Amino acid sequence: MSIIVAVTANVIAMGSLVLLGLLQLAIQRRWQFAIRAFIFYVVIGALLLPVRFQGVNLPLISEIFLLTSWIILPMAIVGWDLMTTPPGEMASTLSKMKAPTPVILGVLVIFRFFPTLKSEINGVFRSMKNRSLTDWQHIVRHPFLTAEYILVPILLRFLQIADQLSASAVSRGATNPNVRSSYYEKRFEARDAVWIFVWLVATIAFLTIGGVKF
Amino acid sequence: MIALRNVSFTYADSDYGVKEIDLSIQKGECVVLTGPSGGGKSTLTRVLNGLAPHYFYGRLSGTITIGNDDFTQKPIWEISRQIGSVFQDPKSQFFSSELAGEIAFATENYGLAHPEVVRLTHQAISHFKLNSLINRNLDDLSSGEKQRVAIASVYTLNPEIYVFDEPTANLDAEGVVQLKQTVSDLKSSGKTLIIAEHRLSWLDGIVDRFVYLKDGAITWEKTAKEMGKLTKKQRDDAWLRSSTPIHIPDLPRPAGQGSPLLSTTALSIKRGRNTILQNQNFKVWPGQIISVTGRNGAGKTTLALALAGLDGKTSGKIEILEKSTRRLKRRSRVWYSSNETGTQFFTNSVSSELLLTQNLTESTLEKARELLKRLGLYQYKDSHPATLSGGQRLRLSIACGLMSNREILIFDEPTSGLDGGNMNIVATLFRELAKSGKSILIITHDGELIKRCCDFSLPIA
Repeated sequence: MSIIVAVTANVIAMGSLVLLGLLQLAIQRRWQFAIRAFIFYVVIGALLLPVRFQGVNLPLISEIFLLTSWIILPMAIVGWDLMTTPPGEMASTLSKMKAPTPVILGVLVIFRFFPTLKSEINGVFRSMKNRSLTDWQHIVRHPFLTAEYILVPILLRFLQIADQLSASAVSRGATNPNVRSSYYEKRFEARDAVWIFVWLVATIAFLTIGGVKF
Repeated sequence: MIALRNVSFTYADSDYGVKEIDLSIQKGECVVLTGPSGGGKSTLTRVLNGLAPHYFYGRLSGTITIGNDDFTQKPIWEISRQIGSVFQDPKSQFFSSELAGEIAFATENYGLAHPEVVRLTHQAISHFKLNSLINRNLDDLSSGEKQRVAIASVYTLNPEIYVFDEPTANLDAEGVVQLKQTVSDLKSSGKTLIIAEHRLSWLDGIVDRFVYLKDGAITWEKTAKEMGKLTKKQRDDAWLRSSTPIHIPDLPRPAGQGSPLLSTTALSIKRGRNTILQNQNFKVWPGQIISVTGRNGAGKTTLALALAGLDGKTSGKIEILEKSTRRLKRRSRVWYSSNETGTQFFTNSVSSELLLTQNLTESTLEKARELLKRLGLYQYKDSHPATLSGGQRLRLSIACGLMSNREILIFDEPTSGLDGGNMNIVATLFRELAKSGKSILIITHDGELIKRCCDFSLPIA
């Protein structure tokens, strides 16, 4: 809902999105995360100010990098908030919203994807080292082949894991047509509806006021 | 009672499958499906739990009844309520990173009421003694603990029948001990167990009957007692492993004369901030095969990865041929084969995998051909490594090690998913390689393998 592709120099519009994101964190009492995001926001803002208004060239740090960080911060805040929600609770909310089982299982799989990706990539790099595929001479001589050596086993491994995971789900009743229930009792509450509404309004307002114009 | 009458199944995309299966299994019985790799054990488990043809498409004929119910006509989610399934790789069975969420998964899918889901989940957690793990991330559990979680998640539905497809293939020794306890408890509570397995000795005392499958058909059945009477020759001819526990022989620590090929002095290994191993001093001479043993988590794999220069921060000395050898140099002199074969292969055929980074001379080609033939992989030489079975991939990984020309080779649990026949072949290859002057370290608890090829033992504590 709140993940908007927005490129704008409108400080107030960007700022309100960040504030809204921070408010969302605060209401959930995720103080530590909220404070960190706020500090990040202030520091980047302070660095960008002289660039924007005095035409200063910053040493060492790329301005494009700063600007990108500035722009994606609202998305990063809500995205990270979503990513760190326990998958069980998310599945519970979705089943309360009467989402179809394939959608819920899809969400669960996406959450499993990242830790799996990490451990599989480690495995691939270790095997590459073992087989002398990471020697710099080899990488320089065959850069495309090297990229292939990293990507192909990871992709194939994912297919394999996806297959095993699906078999495990199917053998545990995932194709049952009933509405799915949940171990976590996470209700879909009025405030969830309010937040969906707030972000909807903010998104529309943002796009109307300062977003991409066609 | 389960009854299969004239059941045949062929996968949609191949002519592989099982044929004319007649099998009756009594309530409370433990039946082990065994036989050489590719004999049809896994397929038969899939026919029983309905994954064939409901997930793995193909043509099924014959009748499968449980009690008076015809199972061939039921949707899979009805079958799964009565037949629980546990697979090879616990890691790729999980939908959640949280223990309780994972165990609740099946009950959630069946839409049981929330209090019932919670009750059944907690009951399973305490039944399988998982309370102490409840706040741990599932990815951090040991292989045995993971498999216990997988069984607990099936247990919540209280099925009468459990089907296991090579449940020990990815377990370490301690994991197998834990699994044995769990399976034994299920048996005493009157559940019917059907287990496809190569490793047989852990089932001693649990199994009632062995069913031998070869080329997709049942060749013979034997009671546990009859099985125990097979001579070693009969077992070897049938490519079977021992059905009774093999005592791990007491071997001396490596000793020898002349200059050692590998030696460590005061070697300590850190991973991240944790010191995993301290003050390791040992020497290995050319031609020796050494079993590396030690309890789970003792640091055997950490040691192997450090010796091969792949991971871990080392202090102390690692010498090859009495010369201190740095990490990057060690990578070209020490080979490490993990038993996790999912991420080891990089090319699109078995033969090019074996020849990767090799100079293509007539003699290397000949050597590769011979290895593939001996390891039963020659017919798959043009297949993609990802299409191989677990056991075949393990053999390919070993073959890559044997092709590598490195002086020191380390294999991590190389026989966990191998049948008896292939284990013997691998043991013979290790012997031959050692004879040519290489040193081989094998991390293993496989008493049969140790008996067949190891001269020394290096306990890691």
